[in-house]
Amino acid sequence: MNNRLKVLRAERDWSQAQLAEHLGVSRQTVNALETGRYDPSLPLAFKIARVFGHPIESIFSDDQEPTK
Amino acid sequence: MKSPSLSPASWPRWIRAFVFGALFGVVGYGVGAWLAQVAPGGFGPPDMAVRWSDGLAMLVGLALVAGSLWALYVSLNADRLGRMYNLDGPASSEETALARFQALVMGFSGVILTLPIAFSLMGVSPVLGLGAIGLLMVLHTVMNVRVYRQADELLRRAVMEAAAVTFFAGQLVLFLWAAAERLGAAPTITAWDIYAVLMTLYLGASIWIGVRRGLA
Repeated sequence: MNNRLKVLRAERDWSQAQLAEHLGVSRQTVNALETGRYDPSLPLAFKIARVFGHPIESIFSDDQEPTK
Repeated sequence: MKSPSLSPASWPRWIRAFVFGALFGVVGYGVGAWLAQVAPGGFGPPDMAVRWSDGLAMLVGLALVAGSLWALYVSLNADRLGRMYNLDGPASSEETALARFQALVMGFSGVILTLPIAFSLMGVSPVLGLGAIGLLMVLHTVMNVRVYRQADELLRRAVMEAAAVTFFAGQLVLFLWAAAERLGAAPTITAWDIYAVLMTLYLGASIWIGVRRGLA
């Protein structure tokens, strides 16, 4: 699974700690998401979408299609 | 007016600890009394010989204690801890406290794992040894539950994945051994042998999953 988390975080000039606080997870989790080592649960994916104000499909995409 | 709740969750912590302690004490006494009736002389002489599984358990126990000491040492420096956890800066005081607690639980696991061997070799009475191990197990379980409750979904997923890998690898090894044993091609193994193999598999699976998920 690919995601645009790092780009979206950089656009807002947030640190990993700030994003982690918004999402209610650890910085390790944010790092694992950004580096593609971990795919979030559906509730966390929805929370990420809400925090960034984007639909889920514009943040996450499967390996076959590039992120929009 | 809202009536006060009578559920155990609303009791002060010390009362809950006292009630659980009393409950486990009564259960422990009952089991001990029953065992004293069933087997007054015990189930057999303690195994004083060092077995291959003792070596394996000692190795895993020492690895857990060494890992714990290393994590505690790393946690003395926030920058170093941040690097170890792949963070984008130094670890916060909360992250440091959590890392230290997790390290303590890991080291404690290693100590508990080696205790049955140490007690057996020292000739500690089974009732005393088992009582001490039982009490430490209760404390260890409480600590493990605390780690799990403090963890977010990544750590919980890693724990579950490690448990799943351990189960499937363990049942494979155990089935092969059990089949060989049933066919008379392998010696009989004990619960301690199985446990030592299980913990070795769990340690290996935890390290592998932790590295894959960026936790180590």
